Amino acid sequence: MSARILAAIWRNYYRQIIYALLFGVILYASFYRGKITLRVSDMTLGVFNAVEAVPQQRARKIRTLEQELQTLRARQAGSTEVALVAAKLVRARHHSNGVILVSFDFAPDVSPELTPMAEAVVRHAFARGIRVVGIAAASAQGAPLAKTILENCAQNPRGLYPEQLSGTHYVYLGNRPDMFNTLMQMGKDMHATYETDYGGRALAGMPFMRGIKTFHDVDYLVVITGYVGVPETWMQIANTKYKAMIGMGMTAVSISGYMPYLQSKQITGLLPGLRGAAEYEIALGEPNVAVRRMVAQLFAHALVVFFIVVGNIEYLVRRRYGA
Amino acid sequence: MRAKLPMLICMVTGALLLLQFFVPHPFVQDTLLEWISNSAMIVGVFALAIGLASLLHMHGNKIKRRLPGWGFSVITLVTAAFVATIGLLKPAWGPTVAREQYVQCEPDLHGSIRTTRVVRVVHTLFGFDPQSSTTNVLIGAAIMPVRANRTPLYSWYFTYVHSALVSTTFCLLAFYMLTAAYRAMRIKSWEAALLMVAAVIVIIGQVPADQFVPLGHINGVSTFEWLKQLIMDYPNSAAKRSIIIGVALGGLATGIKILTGIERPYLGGGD
Repeated sequence: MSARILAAIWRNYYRQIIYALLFGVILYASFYRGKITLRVSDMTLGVFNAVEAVPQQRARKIRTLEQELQTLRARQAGSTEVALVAAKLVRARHHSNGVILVSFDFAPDVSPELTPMAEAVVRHAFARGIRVVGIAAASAQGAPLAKTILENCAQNPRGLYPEQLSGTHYVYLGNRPDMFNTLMQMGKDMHATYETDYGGRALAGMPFMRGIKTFHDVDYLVVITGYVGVPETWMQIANTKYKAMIGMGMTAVSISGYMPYLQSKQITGLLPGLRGAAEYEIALGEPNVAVRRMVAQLFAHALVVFFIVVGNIEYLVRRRYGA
Repeated sequence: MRAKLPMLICMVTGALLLLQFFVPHPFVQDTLLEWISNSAMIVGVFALAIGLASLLHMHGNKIKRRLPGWGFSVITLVTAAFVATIGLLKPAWGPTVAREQYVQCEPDLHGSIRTTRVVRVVHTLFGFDPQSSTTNVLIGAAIMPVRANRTPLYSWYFTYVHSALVSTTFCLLAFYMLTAAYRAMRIKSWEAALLMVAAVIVIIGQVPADQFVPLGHINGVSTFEWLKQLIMDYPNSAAKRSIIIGVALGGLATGIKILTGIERPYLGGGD
């Protein structure tokens, strides 16, 4: 077959050839059983270490509140002031290992990239005995998805932790309309914002929620999102207004927009797409689905670079010799 | 009056919303803020009604006039009606059966509840048991009675129809992106060359490419990963930061103009 015929085939069917190659590469990656190694980046460690430090942070908080209460009692401060600190202390002691809030702000479209990330963070918390509050602040579509993720982590512990129970070890609150105002209210009183959990159980009677009232009772917030604008809202309200510590995970394509917030330390860490999920799994010592998917991503990226090079060679040849 | 009343509402509401950031008084921080938040949510719910009316109007017209693609409008309306209906159905009306397993539970290690018994509900879909749908229901702790032994139709639809379709559609982007990269990323100018080089570095740096091709190391990090981080940390962040600050200043100026009534987009016009 002459080069001319090959060129004609390529010209007429290049889309089909590229699609078939990509499909083949992904298929090969699915069956690839070799190991891949990844360096855990500082961005990922920012989130991982913050979750890791939650129990110590909670212990420090309890000590601080105890000292504060003692001081207030010693100087015979007003009963309201003492009651306020005492209530904070009771809430802090309720979950002595600490609490993280995970916001599943994504819909099924980016689920293949963000679900492994969300699972890794939730499993990490469960493995350290940290309680988890799940919400879907930005996405009504993501609400059922988040429930599935939490239940999957709770009931398939993979030997990392005992089976976790809804209402005891974690609670899932679902979605409320109007993210901005929902977060504003959550900073004041979560029980007023979410009167029931996603399953319809009243939060008022739930022992788990006795230890959580506002963002101040949560040691760390992890926002996993595929939407532009959502991280800003979280930072604006939870971080700037209520001084909560935030870590984020987002699709790799959105990462570039949020590097300034990482540098200004408004967020402690940033999980960059599937790679962030894979790094998190490695940091946790439990390489799983994200690491496996990284193989497919590695091969697909190699193919993209290959076709960029081919496209440029073709362009240069055409420019030199004409079409 | 028709023009002044909306302006007045806008100015007063805007001023009240601004107060929370500057006045730490409990009345502003608790009572007023809660009232405003609740009001905003209630107003937000009305948007749903407007959206639904708009959907019906647009697609209804298309069907009525038999405009090109009217068949898709029929599908849209039928699906919208179907999803809305199944969302309103009681969970017990879901068609999916569930199997309950009573298992002994370990004593709770961390919480204050002593859980003695757990009901494990395994949702079944035509005999197939997806493990991810297993649900624990606490009993004996006065939290809730055992009641969920069916998958609501809405959840079933979401998991097995909506999620699958949306994920598949989004994943098709990979194919389009590959052909776009082949056709668009060509060195036609030095700016295009710069863009292409940066793109290639970030694409390779995002994956563990040095696993298969030795590309060297800088400061203990693979070369492309190091270069990627360099691009992300400096030129990218500098550009993004300037955009963020520019947009924030623009937003501030627009906000002041709207609050003071200089711009009135909510009245359907500019000035």
